[in-house]
Amino acid sequence: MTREAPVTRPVLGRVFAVVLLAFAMVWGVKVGLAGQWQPEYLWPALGFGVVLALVWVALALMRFRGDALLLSLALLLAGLGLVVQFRFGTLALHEPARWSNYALPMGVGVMLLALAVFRGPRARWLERASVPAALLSIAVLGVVLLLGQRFRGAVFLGGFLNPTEVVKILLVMYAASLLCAYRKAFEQPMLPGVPALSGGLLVSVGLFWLLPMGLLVLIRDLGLIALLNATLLVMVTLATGRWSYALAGGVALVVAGFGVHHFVPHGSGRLAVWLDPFADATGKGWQVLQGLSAMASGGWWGAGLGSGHPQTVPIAASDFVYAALAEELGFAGCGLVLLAYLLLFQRGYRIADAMRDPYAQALANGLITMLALQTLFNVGGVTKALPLTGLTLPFISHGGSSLVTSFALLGLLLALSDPAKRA
Amino acid sequence: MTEWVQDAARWLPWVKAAFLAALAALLLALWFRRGRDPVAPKRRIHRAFFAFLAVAFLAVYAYQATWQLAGFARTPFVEFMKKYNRRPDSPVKRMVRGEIRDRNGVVLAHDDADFPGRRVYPLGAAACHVVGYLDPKYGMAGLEAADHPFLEGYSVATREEQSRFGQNLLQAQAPRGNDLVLTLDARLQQEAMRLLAGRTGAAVALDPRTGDVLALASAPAFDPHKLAPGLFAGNPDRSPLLNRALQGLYPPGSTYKVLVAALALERGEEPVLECPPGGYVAAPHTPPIRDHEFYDAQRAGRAWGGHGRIGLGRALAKSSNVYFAKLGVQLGPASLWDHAQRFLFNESVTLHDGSSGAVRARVGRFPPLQEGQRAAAAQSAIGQGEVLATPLGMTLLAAAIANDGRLMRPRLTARTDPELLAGCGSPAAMRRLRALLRGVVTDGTGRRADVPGLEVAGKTGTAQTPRGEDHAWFICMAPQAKPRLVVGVLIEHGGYGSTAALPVATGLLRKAEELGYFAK
Repeated sequence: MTREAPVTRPVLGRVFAVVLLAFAMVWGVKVGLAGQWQPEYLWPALGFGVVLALVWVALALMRFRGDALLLSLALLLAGLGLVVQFRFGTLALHEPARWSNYALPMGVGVMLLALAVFRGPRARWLERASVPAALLSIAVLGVVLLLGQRFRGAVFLGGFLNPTEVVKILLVMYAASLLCAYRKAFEQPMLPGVPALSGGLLVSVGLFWLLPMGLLVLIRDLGLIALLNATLLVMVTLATGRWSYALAGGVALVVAGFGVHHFVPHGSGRLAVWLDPFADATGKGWQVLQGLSAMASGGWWGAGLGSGHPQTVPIAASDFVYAALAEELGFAGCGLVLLAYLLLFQRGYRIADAMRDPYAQALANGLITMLALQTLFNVGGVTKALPLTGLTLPFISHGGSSLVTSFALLGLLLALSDPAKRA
Repeated sequence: MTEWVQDAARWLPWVKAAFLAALAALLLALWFRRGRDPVAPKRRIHRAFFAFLAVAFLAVYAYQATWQLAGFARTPFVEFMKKYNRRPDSPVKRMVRGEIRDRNGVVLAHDDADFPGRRVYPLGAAACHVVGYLDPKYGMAGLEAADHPFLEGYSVATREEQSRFGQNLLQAQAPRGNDLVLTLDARLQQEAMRLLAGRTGAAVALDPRTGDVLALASAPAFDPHKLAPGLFAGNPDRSPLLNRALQGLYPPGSTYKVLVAALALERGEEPVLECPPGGYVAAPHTPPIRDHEFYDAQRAGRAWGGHGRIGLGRALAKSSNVYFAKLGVQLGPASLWDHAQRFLFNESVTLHDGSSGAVRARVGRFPPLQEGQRAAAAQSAIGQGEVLATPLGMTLLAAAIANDGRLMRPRLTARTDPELLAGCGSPAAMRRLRALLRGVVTDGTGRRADVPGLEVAGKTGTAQTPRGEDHAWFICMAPQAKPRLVVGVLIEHGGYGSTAALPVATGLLRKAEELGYFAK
């Protein structure tokens, strides 16, 4: 057995120690301010410690040499999410049957699985799986449409399982393969912002992109449509190095926005609320204004975790968790959280930079862009900088499907970042 | 002005978006200018996109600051938080509500220093009807209700208010709402309440030249600090919550004769009419209208020979029912009604147009009269029958006469300029009428109102009611040549105007003199 380069593991260990420390500090605030000590307060820390230890062992066993900082930042955010969910009571440890208790271990498990399956040379499997992935996403959307239940403007399957989350990754995989297959067409556009059209391109786009989009329109998940198309736009721009795509896409986005505003009742309501939430303050504007009220009472330094009243904001634990963070961690705490996200995205783009294989690069771009845009849309929506999209805040929002999907995405990025050569 | 603001507000999000886009473009341009390093083009565009992303997050974070740290500058947001924020420790709960002050800066309502939101009313019951109350249990009333958003600080109609609100935020630790300054004089108001003590009635004092309401009192009153369920469910006759000055409708009785006299003078007529002791029968099968001297004599078992042939001045001084019933019929029912419309009977006037409501009052009520309704015209001309008026309405009638026929809108705050509400008659006729009303005080039913040096002119009124004692009225102005103050008083079931209402009015006039309202 040859000796591995002794760099990775100590670095990994140190980073993990920092994550654990930061998590303990955040968690300690909750315990410190809640006053009375209860043994229950130990559970998030213990659970997180166990998860961290398992990840560490698994990575060590795999001889993981990928991006440790990316993983650590994601785990830090997930740890923060764990504390916040514990604070909201969505983690109910005396109810072992509640499956949201196991969202973090499940997510980490899926991440490790994705990493183990696709690391190293097997990243190519992803390219081969991309057309089946598109087919699978169509199937998933079809099933959701047929069997799903409507709740709060979105569609869920039994037990508030939201399978449309999976579609995000599947369609980004397909988009990456589309970019590679029609690389010339994209790199030599017939007009600025319009790829050289061919029958094959039109059929592929129509069948595997526009068809799922149509299904999403029927499901009325406008936020996901916006996210996927914006991601595609960035992927094309980054793959070709042509800003004309971004420009044309931006114009198309504005046109589509007007279209939505005038023709889709669900969407026009959201745009109207965004432009003037005070017009219907006690109706449609209620949620966003309550979220902003939470922020205003947070001020610079916040009330401290567990000491605010974010439960006055509808869906505070899920879509509006950022308002709860703003109230309890303050403007300063929000800045640190956003910084953590930005560092995470920066690591993601560094991974994409390092890819030699065009498909791997396009995929890495797509995955990290989607995570970044989802974060931007969520935070922008809660702060009223952007219209509400109904997207979750990755790693922190309540919602098992969202957490597992985010970790699966992270697993793929880690797999791409790991140059493991089978010796 | 407000349209312009609304227009701008509509485009503001787009302007903001354009600004952010321009900022992002600038940063990107800077980024590319230093991009001559030997970095592969792909890497460069990755970095550029990450920079774009960072700028976007920064923009969102900066925008978050405008809510989280500077949310107080957004007045609709402050309003929302005040109304719907259920946090016990919300910063908006520390905001101080504005004060209500009188014309000399005397505070009529302010926040308790220890409990923002709990109101203190230094005058207590004395100004309760005008100022109203703000109570966590019983809600709002009066000016506290009419200008609630203004006092709270989230109604900013004008740019001046906006900038004052901004200054409050910057300078004061606890942001403060707007102060409401009234035209009321707390000293006159208190005197009016003192004079009305124990009675049921109302007193109004106006500056006829500007319409400034100097006193607006209604009795019985209530203590705004001690609201209780009984107040709201009590006997309607006593109901202290009712602002009788603005809301009470009473037959005006003889005070209404002033308006009939005004019409005659407007036509240049001062007829001499025969007033026999037997009274005047305006229409067949109606009881005769008689003078009060007839009944006095009847009660005393004496005989009374009637006023004989008298003119307008004597008829006013003696308050002759027979004369004015005849005069009313002679002038014509329709013109009688028309003239009442010129004095805005059947209309309501706005004393204060607040940010969330208005303080309004009816002048009176006078159902239309047609030609030929002689009996109704005769009754109306002596202020009986179907004519009703509020104490403020009768005071306004006096104010119009005092101001040479120019009726100024009664105003509770000096926020708006004096405003001409209606032209009610020619200056010459009004001057003549004032001289005749001076005669009422020097030589008639209002003799007791002749405060030395004030040249009071006025008219008493004793209005019959279906039940109980008569309502007592007195309206007056001083000085007669160029009146500076008009006072109207009503005492419910007080008896004679000259004994019940008149002393209240003279008391107010004396107080006003003492306060210097008649000095130079």
